[in-house]
Amino acid sequence: MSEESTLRERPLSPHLQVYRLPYNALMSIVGRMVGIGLCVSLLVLLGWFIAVVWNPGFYTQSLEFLNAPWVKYIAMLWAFSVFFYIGNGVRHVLWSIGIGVNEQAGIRTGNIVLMLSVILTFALWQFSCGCWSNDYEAAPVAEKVKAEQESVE
Amino acid sequence: MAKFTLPKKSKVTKGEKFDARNDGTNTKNFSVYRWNPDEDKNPRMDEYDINLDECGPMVLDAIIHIKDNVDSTLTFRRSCREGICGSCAMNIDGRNRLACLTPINEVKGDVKITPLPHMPVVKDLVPDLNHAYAQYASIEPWMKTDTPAPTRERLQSPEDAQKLNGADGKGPAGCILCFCCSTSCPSYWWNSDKFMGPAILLNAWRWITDSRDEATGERLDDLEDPFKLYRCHTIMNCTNACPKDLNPAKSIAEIKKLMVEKHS
Repeated sequence: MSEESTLRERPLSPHLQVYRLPYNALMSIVGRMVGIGLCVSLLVLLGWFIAVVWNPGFYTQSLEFLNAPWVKYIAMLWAFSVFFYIGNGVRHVLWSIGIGVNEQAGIRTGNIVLMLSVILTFALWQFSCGCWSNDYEAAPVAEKVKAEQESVE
Repeated sequence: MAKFTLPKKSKVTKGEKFDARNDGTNTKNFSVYRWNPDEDKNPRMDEYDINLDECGPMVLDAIIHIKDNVDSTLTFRRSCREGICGSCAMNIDGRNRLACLTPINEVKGDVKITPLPHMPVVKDLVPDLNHAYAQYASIEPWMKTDTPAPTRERLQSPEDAQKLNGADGKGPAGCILCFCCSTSCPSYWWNSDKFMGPAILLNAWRWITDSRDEATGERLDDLEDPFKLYRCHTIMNCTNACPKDLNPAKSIAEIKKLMVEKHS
């Protein structure tokens, strides 16, 4: 028995360190990260809403930030994430009713979701964001809000 | 909680280098995981340069060649050398497979071999499968009946038999319990204490779908658990890894479907 107790603890074999994740596993982990990202971004958006409600002046302050050119790309990425997450959700529903649960179908539906997400993101941009073109000016709105605020006071 | 890094004592270090090319031109480098329970050292990767003209075509041939001619201390499991015993399951070039069914020339560059992932290592390429076997025992993988035994075999129609064997011979009854699938599954890595893992769930399905078995309800009740069954998130590494081309992900999906039917 004493021999047993002196047995060395067994090491854990390498896992993430060595495994080459196949396509479906990569899609799965990306889906998770996108989900977490969306969750965090919604909390930020909610925080912004609350801040604006508490302090309307904050809206005019944030307009400057929101009109920075790179914010557009963030919004684009966010829209892509939403489409991707919904598409992935549909894949999971199909799997739950037993459709397409094999490697090839997983790759095919994954590619469809990726392509649809790209197409929908660009389509959304075309339809909704003419108003967010470069010649859009924040200043008049900002001044209007400021004037309203002053009149209330 | 998932732990993405290896424990301190499990971190892999650089090992020894063995040159067994013997002036050959057709050579290959094998990088093999080594751990000896008799030494108080971390695991290491030993490198063997071998002459492919001196050994057979499969990865198993190469490691047998290494054990016979280069380093007799190398430890691994093997038996049938034709993909039916499931003993030589290991991680080769980042993917779980049977060494005996993996051609050496399928691997580009150096051949990196480690034990089945996220398992306690007994020695070198030999993982401790006790827990996985205990999980297998827990699903009671034998035919259970209430009706009195007939005077001859319990009969089954060809269609019902096909649910087990598969029309293409790739049904759940083809499982050889090599555990390539379970140890490829990230969900099993993080929750192997409670999640059954694809190999066991595929075998559970093999008995649930058997027309002769009379304990279907009991078997489903036993699996109805947030961890045992529902830690499967359809990552499909299992189906990708199976050396027998079976589809554990599909078996698990079928069990989940039956669970819903049971409640409606």
